[in-house]
Amino acid sequence: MLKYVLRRFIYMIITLWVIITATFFLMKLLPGNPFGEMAAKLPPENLAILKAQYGLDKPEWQQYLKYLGNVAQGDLGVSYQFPTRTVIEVIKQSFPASLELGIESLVVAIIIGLLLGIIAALKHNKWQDYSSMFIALVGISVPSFVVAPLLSLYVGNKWGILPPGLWEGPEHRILPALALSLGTIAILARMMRASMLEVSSLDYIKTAKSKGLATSKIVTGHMLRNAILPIVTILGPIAVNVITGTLVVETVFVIPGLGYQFVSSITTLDYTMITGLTVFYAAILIVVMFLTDIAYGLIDPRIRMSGRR
Amino acid sequence: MAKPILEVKDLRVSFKMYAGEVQAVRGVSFSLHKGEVLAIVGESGCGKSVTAQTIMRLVPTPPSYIKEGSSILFDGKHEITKMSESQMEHVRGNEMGMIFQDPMTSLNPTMTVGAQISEGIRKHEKVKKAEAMRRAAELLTLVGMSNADERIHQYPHELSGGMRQRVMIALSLACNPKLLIADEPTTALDVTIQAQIIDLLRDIQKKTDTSIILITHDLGVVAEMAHNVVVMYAGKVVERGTLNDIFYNPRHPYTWGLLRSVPRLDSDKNNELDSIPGTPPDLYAPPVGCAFAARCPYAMQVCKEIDPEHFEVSAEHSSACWLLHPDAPKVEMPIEAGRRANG
Repeated sequence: MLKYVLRRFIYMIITLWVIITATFFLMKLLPGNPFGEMAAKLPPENLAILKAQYGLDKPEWQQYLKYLGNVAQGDLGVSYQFPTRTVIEVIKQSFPASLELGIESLVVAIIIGLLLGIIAALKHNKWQDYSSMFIALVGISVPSFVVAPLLSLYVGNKWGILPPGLWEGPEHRILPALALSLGTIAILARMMRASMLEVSSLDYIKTAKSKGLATSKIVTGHMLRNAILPIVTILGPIAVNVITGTLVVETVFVIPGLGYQFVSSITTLDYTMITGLTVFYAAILIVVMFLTDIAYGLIDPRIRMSGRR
Repeated sequence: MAKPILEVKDLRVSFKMYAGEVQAVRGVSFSLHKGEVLAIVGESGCGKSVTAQTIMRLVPTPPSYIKEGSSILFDGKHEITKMSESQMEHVRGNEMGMIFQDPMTSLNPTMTVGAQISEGIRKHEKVKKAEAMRRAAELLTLVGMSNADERIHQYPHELSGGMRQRVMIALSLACNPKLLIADEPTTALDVTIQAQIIDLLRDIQKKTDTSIILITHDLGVVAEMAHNVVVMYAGKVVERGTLNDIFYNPRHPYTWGLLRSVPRLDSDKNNELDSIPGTPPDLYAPPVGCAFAARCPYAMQVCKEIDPEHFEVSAEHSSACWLLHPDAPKVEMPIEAGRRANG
């Protein structure tokens, strides 16, 4: 198991390096410059000073090595747009809200999604199945930029049951989390249903039945663990998606999260901010994938053992 | 004679599908005594597996239905066709055990073999987990696995196919069942392992005096361990008898075909293997007469119109074929008597 973890860890570092490199050089290919329209009005000597201040006067490979070194020390640079703030500061300030919202909606999605999927599979082709899959269909086909404003408008504003926006007490969490989790609920419910149906037709379920086990015991003891394996695989990307994909929901509910910062940095060509946030998102994705792989190994003995060779 | 442990009478099982009703088993009767090994043979799709799994009620309803008038009397007191699911839970694993065809898929990949064996023991007998695990280790020793104390902590993927089938046998024997159903127990194994598994089953049968129903299409396996044989075709029993009756004095053209299609070491390499021409009938709409008539070289007009009843050859031997009717023309058996698969 240790060897398995170690190998995964090395892959993780390599992937991260590839992403940093790719983002860095892609940014250099972008037309325009980070000092905006003002740059045209500046005297050349002033522009040269500015460039020197940010290290842009050096050859690109030197810039790259310096950046790589900084990233290794946890320094993502200073924003071009707001010279008083480092990228790390922006992340520290904005990410907690995004993370909290992401985790809350992920938990909601896993609980509701898996439950719907299990019920649908156990009551295959009965009304419970059809209604669960109807909910999933709605969840998958209505995007969050429709759900979020509707929830905010009706539940928040017209009926006044919950606050329509802002990020203060726990009651402010419910609507955004719900809006964000709907699509994930749908995906998880459909996958869990398919997976459960597949497992239920396998031979070892018949073996379990031939031992005289009750249906409930067969479901909890034999089906769930095997059926959840494919779910765990997609859970990593889904988690990252939910944590980083909060832009629309953050905008609708006026939540001070990271998604907003990302978009504004792109429109202002804030090199360090774009590269820094991309690297940060990539790092989250890779870490979550790494954790997923480990979780997979814990659930499925076949994978755990293959690392032992 | 003692009461049979299992008495199947006029068993009919159908599957309700979108395209109609598949009559998989169409009136099967046989009985099994204590300590007896009964082989059910026939080609794929003849209903032998459905018959076996219906005895343990393992075929899911829907789509399968046991028809009115069918009877499976177990141990003289349990009418299997009328029992509730919770009553069946008590019978399954406890009084009947089942061995499946493919040991690569019939064990749960995420549980240790010890946990899988002890699970059944703990369901039927009120014992502690440690005690059940100890019993599991004993069972593994019984089925010929060394280092049983370590084996119980292994997962199925760490064992070979033959070992897994031994685990499966141990699992089915966990609560000393009165009846063991082996559904093609050797089909998925390679030949050397097949022999070991058959030896093991025969050995265990002698030690424990368990009754065994052996489902197979391999006449070699039948010759190795069966006492009595039931030959099935298209959901019906076409011939039944003792092992010797079936191998030395078969009376049904389908049994002849089966025996002829066993490959032999001393046959001429240039000759093609004998096979029965044609395909089994469509069980959505089974034929009115004898189901084998369309493929039978001896078929007469009556075969196509009226389904034959069983004609008794002796007390234990009967065959459902019009050729046995007193008025039928005499037909020479097309094979030498005693063409046993093992020579």
